[in-house]
Amino acid sequence: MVNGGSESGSTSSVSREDNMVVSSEDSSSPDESELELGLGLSLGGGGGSKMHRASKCGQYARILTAQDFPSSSPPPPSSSSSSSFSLSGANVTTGTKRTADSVAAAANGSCQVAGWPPIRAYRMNSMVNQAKASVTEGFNSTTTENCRKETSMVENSTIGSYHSSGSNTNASRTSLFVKVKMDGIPIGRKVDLNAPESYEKLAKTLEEMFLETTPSANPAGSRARQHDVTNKTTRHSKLLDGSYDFVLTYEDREGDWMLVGDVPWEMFGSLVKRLRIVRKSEATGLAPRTEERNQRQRRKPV
Amino acid sequence: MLWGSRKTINMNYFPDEVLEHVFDFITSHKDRNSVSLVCKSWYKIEKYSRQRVFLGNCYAICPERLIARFPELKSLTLKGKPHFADFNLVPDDWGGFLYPWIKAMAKSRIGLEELKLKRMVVSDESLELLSKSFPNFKSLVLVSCEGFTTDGLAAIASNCRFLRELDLQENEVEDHRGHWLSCFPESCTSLVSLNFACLKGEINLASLERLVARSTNLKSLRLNRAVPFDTLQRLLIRAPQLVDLGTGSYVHDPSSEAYNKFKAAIQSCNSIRSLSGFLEVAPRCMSAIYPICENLTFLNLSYAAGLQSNELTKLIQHCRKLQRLWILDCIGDKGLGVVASTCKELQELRVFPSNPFDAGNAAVTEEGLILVSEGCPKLNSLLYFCQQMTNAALITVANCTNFIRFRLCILDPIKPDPVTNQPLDEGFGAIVRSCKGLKRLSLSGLLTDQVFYYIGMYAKKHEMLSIAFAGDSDKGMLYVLNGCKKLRKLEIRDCPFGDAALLEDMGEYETMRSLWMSTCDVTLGACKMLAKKMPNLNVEIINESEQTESNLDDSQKVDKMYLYRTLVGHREDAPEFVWLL
Repeated sequence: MVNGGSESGSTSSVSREDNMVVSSEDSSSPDESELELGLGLSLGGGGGSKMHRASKCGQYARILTAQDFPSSSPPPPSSSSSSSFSLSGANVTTGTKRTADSVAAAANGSCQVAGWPPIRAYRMNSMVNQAKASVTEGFNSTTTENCRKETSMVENSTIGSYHSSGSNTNASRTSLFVKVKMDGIPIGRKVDLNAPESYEKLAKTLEEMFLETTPSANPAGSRARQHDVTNKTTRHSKLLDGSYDFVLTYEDREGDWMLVGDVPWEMFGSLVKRLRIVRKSEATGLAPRTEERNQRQRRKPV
Repeated sequence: MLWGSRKTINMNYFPDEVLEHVFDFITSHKDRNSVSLVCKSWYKIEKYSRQRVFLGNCYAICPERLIARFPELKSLTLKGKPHFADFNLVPDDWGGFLYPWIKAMAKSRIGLEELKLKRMVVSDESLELLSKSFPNFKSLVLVSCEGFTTDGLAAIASNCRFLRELDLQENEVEDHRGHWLSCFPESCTSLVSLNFACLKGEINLASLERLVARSTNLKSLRLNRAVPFDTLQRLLIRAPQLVDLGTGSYVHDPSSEAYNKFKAAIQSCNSIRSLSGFLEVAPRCMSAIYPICENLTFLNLSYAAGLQSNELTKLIQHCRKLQRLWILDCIGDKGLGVVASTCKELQELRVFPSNPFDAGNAAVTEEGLILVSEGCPKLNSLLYFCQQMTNAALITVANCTNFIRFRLCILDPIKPDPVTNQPLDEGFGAIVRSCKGLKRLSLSGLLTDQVFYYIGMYAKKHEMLSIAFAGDSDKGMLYVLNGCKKLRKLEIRDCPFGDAALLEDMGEYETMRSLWMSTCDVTLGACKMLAKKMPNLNVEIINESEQTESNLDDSQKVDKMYLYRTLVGHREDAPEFVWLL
């Protein structure tokens, strides 16, 4: 019996089909909200499918943990294995086939672990936000007056944050993927805001994503790429300093589009919904930079 | 006539209204389904008297057809996205939209009164349409949903004159900081349950107090973080009849006036049986709630990151009647020992990780679990995030034979038994062997095909199984498919299961609600074949790379496959990254 063509059949067979679909209650979901367990590791973020395929030879990429995310340089393979993983030194026969090119993955800062550990995204985000709130209590303009008074009284005795408990002082490395689109490029990407540690690093990641993997969307882009190749390691991010034809903007929780870089980095993740790299000329409402104005004037026919 | 066939006599003997009255007593969906299959007459009566419908997968049937089948629908439960969407494995815009359902029900003038949704995309537009289309609407429960803002909530508050329940659990809500709560008119006094703990923004506190004051039937109130301690204390004075309380901010100075008032107020709240919240908590202030602890049956401190182990244990020592406990792993193994010796009525335990990315430092191990399983004879539901597990421990835990749900998450998911370096096959095997009523299982740790052999052999009542990083070959998956005949949902990640396993018994999938396989060895060709042979299944591939369907050849492995049975064929709202085979 296919699709909706059941009218000619007997009512009982329609009923049987319907009833299969309108099934009895789940045992898996009692009244309360659930954290449902599923485990897995898939490599997302920048690099996408290529990265995924490369590491699939072992299929079970090593779990990347907080220690793995490189601050300046990738950690040497042996230390990262032992600090965060159990199989080092353990029974080799069952273990080896599950280690893969994850060190290569760790070396590429934009590669993240998705869906691990299997904790509902809401809970993860709330953990991050709790940590940020305790860091930035003074900046946070949304706390009520009462709250601020009360929190300042007990500030020093550690208001709950997920990271003050236990001996671990690393910031939580939950993934916080947001969409990024660039003007002129139809396909968007996603970037994990919790991976980079500063606006500079974020901008570099985005530049790598968009400016080096796509064909030139405009002449300025190809000029920029040439510039990239020569000064890759030492230049500041063009997206941030206004010297480029594109600027980095974000949509905040209230739906407004803002220039990236105004608020302290620690707060940024909790404010941003998505990112957009816009042509400066279209960034109306954002003050044009001096250089651009000069350039435009220079180009004007005399 | 008296000597006609017995069947004729039986059917004509009872008028419809009597049968309908009889059917009223049949509440389980399964039984009602059976009733409807007896004969045309019963089908018709059941159809018109069915008021509650549960749809585990919103794409298994379309709204129009559901409405045609059950025109007297009053209460609808819908689930949308696959379970792994909870862990960000399903891209945005995948689907699960509420709007078409509301639109269809509004058009057919369905007298909807209750709506419960899980993992659906709920737009403000749909909330507004809902609020205006169903005059008797009473109850809205949203779990793990997204897509709406506080504007949508404002519409519900303004227009649903008889609203009894607004329950928002772990949703991503865009907070426009409007005064949605103030939209409840003064004439609205029907609220029984109000849960807005997941909202991030401020609300009008004065409106909240007035609302609580005039809602004399209010039994359940869960506040968000923006509600300060001061207000909490005042709310308790107005609503001493509360049965379920979720605090907002629980930060205050122990020497303050507010604290003293709170202590007095909470003393008169004799009915509180369920306590949660503490989203922001200052330590050393928990003693104020000791007076209500002795009657608590449900305690949820899983968001109370500021509480240390000693405070938690001191609190729990007062909670002798606890049946359900949700807690963070900072309670430690010793703390779980206190739970074991105090909470003899405990049925459900959930232990969440406070440092999810620090696999080596989780505060609980197999020790804590052993203690609880030995001390709490009624334990039947478990979610446990831990640092490690041993076969010996699981074998001991298996003595607790009542488990219905058993979900174990070792933070390092392919970790073997640290004592013996063996996989955890034997341990889980013991669990499935002794817990004959087990319906839901999630595995972790190092696991081979052997564990699936045990599952296939013993887990006869399994309905939902979550597997990752486990198994050695197709045999693993085959053991499960062949053995677990009651399986409804199977979700698999990062396992070496391929085409042979997928295609062995395709008919099996029609008896299940859904199958998820990601990062396995299944190829596009096999998925296509499955889709071709099984027209009652939708086989969907989620592909986030830049490759299009045409330049991926059949021998390539698919990233993510989700298949489900359906009566209505391909869905029309799939985004471009979802390929409908």
